[in-house]
Amino acid sequence: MDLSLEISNLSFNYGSKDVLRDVSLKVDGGEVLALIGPNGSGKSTLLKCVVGVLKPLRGKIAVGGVDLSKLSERERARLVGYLPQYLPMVFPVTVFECILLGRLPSFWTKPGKRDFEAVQRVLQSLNLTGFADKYIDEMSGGERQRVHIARVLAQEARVMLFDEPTANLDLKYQLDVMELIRKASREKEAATIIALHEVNLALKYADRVAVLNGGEMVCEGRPEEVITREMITRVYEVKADVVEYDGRPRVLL
Amino acid sequence: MSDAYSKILRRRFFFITTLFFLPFLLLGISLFVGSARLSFLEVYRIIVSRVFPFFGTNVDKASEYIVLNLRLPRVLGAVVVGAVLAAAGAVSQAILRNPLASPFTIGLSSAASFGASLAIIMGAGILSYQGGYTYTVTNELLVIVNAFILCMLCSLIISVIAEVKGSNPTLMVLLGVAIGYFFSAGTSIMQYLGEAEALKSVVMWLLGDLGRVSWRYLLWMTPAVMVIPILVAIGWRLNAFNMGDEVAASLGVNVKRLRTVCIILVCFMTAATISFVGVIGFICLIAPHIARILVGNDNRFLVLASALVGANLLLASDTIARTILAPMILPVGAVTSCLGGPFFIYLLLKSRRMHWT
Repeated sequence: MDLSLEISNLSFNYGSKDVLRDVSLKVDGGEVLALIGPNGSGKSTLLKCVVGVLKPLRGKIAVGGVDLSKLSERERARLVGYLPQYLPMVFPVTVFECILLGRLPSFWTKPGKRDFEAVQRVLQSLNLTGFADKYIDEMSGGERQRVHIARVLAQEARVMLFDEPTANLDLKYQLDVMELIRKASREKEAATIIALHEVNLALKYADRVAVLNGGEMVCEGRPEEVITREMITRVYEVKADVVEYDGRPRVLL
Repeated sequence: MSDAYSKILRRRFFFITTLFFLPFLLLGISLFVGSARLSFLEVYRIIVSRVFPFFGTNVDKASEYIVLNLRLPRVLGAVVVGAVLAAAGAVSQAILRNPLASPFTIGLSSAASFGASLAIIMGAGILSYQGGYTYTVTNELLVIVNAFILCMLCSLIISVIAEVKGSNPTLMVLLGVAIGYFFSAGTSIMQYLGEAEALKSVVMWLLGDLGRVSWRYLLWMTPAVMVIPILVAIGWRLNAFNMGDEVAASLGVNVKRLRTVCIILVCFMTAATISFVGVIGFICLIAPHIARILVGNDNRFLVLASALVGANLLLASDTIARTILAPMILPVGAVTSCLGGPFFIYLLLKSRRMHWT
């Protein structure tokens, strides 16, 4: 079965301002792609186009060969899961309810046995079982992020999109979250895109890295090929060293 | 299903069941109190004789009239109006993602008031002149129709602007506030122009009175009640709004359409109740928050629990309004706010945790 996500010649603009220009990208099932680039380079916009929050101006997005623009919102939601950067949760719910919400694309009025089982599985694999009845606003930022990732996993979508999932987390949880996403991507063979600011995390966890700058795809490939001193100077406009440590390149600022 | 979650569910079913049966008790008390002294037994004999005619033994005709045509519609009206307004409040809070939202914050009370003032003071409702042809409508009906139409006009304005500008929840609240001020100004101008007698009628209307409820009005309110099960059924979809429009969209919810449909339903529910009984405020804000404390924020339970809390609250308030200074009947809207305010503050202070952030 073809589980890949294929984005071809995607363009988007907000009014007169071009945000994405002819972006093409392919992510295979089980593969983790880190999307890096400076602020305003179009990373979030790209993810929002894929999930269907924004309507692209041109271009095609296909999952397993199926054109997403031909699907209903619900059918699309069964294929693509998404975690935005900001979650304006006003009315806190329990961990269980939060994760159960991820099952929404597969039921109408009330969740069934299969939905509860899916939530249970995710709770177990993320060691959240003990937290099931805890209110989400009573948890730390790191634990909360785990719950939101669990929600995306419970959706059991073929494509998973994460917009800066490590922002505002301490070191331990940054690694924890990246580890979690990579593991889930492998297990479910889901094509995964993570928009990231931290290039070292991209080096450590991504199978491939794509660099966006000013709405255009600058380069794309294996982390050690893409993340070079020249690229960082050119794209981020800062001086940085890329050194080899423990067999992998690391960026020193 | 997880044990922890089953525990939560059991707790919710317990509260909802309790809230469901409480009105029957309150109804008994409420039917019993009033200026005409009737015993418990008498009241129930009258009702039983109506439900099961073959039991119909000799009941006093006057008492029967008081119970069946004065008290029963009134207390049922309290239940219906309370339930509908509270459910509308819960839904507006969900779709606008705002704990301060209620049908009244999106300008509906002002719109209804303006419609009613227009009818009372100018004696000229929107429906009375059509093609230069004057329809004769009874005055009360004119007030109702006017209030209703102005409320629905509100929903039209909000949904058209949402269609053009995008359905941003904050935008909708601000719009509602602006519309509210606009109609309030209209009401003020009406009052300034009005005669003293008409002014008094407007003020009376604005206070809200369940005594206006008749069997006919109850019948007309039933469509609004029928919206409640629909809202409960889409409870999970409403939950999706809680995590923001982007997550809701990623979960397959058509955010814009659902929000507009809900706004229209909220306007309809509010219009279909306050047009008959006047502006009975606060219940649509306070009942959902009490329900949140009892059953949490899952809208599938919250909407129903809010409706039940609203029914109980308004019924209790009305009973108090009728008895506390009997034979004088206080305006139920004022009594609701008077008692509900301190009660709400008490709950907020006592509550273990905040149910919004």
